[in-house]
Amino acid sequence: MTDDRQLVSAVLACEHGAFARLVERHQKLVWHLVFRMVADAEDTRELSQEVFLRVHQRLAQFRFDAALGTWIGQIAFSVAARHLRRKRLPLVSHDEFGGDQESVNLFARIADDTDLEAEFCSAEEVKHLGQALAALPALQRTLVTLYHVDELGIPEIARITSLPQGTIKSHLFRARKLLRDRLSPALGVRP
Amino acid sequence: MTHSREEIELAWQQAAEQQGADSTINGDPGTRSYRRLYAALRQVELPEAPEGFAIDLERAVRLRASPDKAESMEQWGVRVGLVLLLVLLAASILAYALPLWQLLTAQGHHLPWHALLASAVALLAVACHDRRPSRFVRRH
Repeated sequence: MTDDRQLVSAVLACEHGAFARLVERHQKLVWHLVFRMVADAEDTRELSQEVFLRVHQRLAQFRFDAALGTWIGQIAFSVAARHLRRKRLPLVSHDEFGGDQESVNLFARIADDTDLEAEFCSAEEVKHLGQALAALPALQRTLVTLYHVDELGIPEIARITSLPQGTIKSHLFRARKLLRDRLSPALGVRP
Repeated sequence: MTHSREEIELAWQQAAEQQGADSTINGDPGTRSYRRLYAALRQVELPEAPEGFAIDLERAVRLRASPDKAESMEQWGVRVGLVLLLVLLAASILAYALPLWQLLTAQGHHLPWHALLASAVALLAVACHDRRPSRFVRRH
């Protein structure tokens, strides 16, 4: 029996501590996903609680047609998306470049090398990146976090968000380009 | 053959993923910038769940799962309280009524009906006690 099945059986049998173990195993993914969607610490806590309460309510119906983490991620995404709809906040922005419609000379940017040592990032860059990430539309910053921080694959992200893989790849492409463009000015690089 | 701007950017992004953090690969500046971005993304701090979050949730679902237990404990407490009250009331009535009854019967008078009526009302109150689930259990 896999870990997931053992854990689910233990929770359904009301074994003491089983549900707490399930929460501990998946709370990081849920917290990251919800936080990136709603961008508010208090709402994140409340919604994360709601996610796990729903997980508990529906656990008996889980059929293992996906990994347990994926199923929990789906619930988290759905709860967060509903929260944004209730607050009339957009999931995606039509103006995906946030107003930075600069006309870019692509080859000029190539000449302005910003990364002599690609594997090293200063604290300053990380801080600027954090701000740029927070400024992205909810869906894009969530997808970037799931892919690069939580290291989920595209197929799994597609199952969690119920979006086509092509759409996810497109959002990731645009979000990364936007982040890279926004990071460059922070480093004082001439266009 | 010229490539569109988007195709070039996509090629950089994909190359950066393939090269990863391998410092032995130099690559072109565009790819290196994306490698730098990916490395920075892995360092961005995200909030985590507070201490005790999982335990609190387990406690909450256990309480939700056994409302009958909570209800029966509450009703048990109410019944114990009522029984104690009755015992005190009965003792008070007897302490008052018995000597008076003896006195009255010695003088040819009737039983103290008001004391008996008070006891009957107390018993009726217990019998009509609200047996519905408490509001707390219903709400949670």
